[in-house]
Amino acid sequence: MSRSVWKGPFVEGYVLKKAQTVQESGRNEVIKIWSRRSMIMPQFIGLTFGVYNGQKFIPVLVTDEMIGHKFGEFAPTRTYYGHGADKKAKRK
Amino acid sequence: MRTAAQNGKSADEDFICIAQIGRPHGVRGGVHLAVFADDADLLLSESGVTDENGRFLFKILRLSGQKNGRFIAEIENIATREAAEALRHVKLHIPRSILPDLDEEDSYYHVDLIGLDVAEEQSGDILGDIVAVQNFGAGDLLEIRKTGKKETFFVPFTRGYVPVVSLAERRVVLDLPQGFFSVPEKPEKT
Repeated sequence: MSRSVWKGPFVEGYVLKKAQTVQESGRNEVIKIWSRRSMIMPQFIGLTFGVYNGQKFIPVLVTDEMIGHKFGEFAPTRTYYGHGADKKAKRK
Repeated sequence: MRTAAQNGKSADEDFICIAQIGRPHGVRGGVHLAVFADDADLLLSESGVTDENGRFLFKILRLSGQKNGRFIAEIENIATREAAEALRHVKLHIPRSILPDLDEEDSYYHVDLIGLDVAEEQSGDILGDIVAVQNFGAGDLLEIRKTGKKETFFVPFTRGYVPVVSLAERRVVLDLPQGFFSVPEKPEKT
């Protein structure tokens, strides 16, 4: 069952506080969080979060397409390496 | 002594693994093929496919029946099910030089980035090397192993964090913000 709309999105309090602090300071910093269940909010766009996956912090650079998703979706707890083959990476 | 293949690397780094043969298909020598590349047509090149050391194996004549990155392949001079069975689990490689040049600026093949040294911008010290390039849905990440250590860390593949990528010098330069490696105290749950 999906979450009731009247409750609004869930975001852990400390995540909001940390994000606000970094935004106000204007520093380029990775905001390390453990809350994988928190929803990505519009005010997080452009910030880089380090989302804990049980072992390490995975950097998540928030873009507008991620709004409404949970942080945990971008920090998998199991890693599959596979083959590089002809796969490409683009520096943004 | 371990061979280059046992170390998980090609003896000549110019050959990349692109597919693996699976079970036979039918009685005329067809095989199932798990293709790791985005462009499966690379397997149909005139030069054929090789093993990890660059030794010519065979030519693939046709690929069909694509489903979830798996194909059915017809191989030159393989005409019986028994011959196809003998090829099971064989990994197919192609020369790196076959891959087309990337036109887009700041685009790199994963195979070119893996193995590059990683230096810190301010001190110039070598931190480690790139072991993988991952994408978990929030952009490309470089996975870096610190020199002499087992654990790895991730850095976003952006101009801000990776201002210099030099394939000629085989190194990238990182500009990490202060406190990148520090871990704050874990807050209590609300």
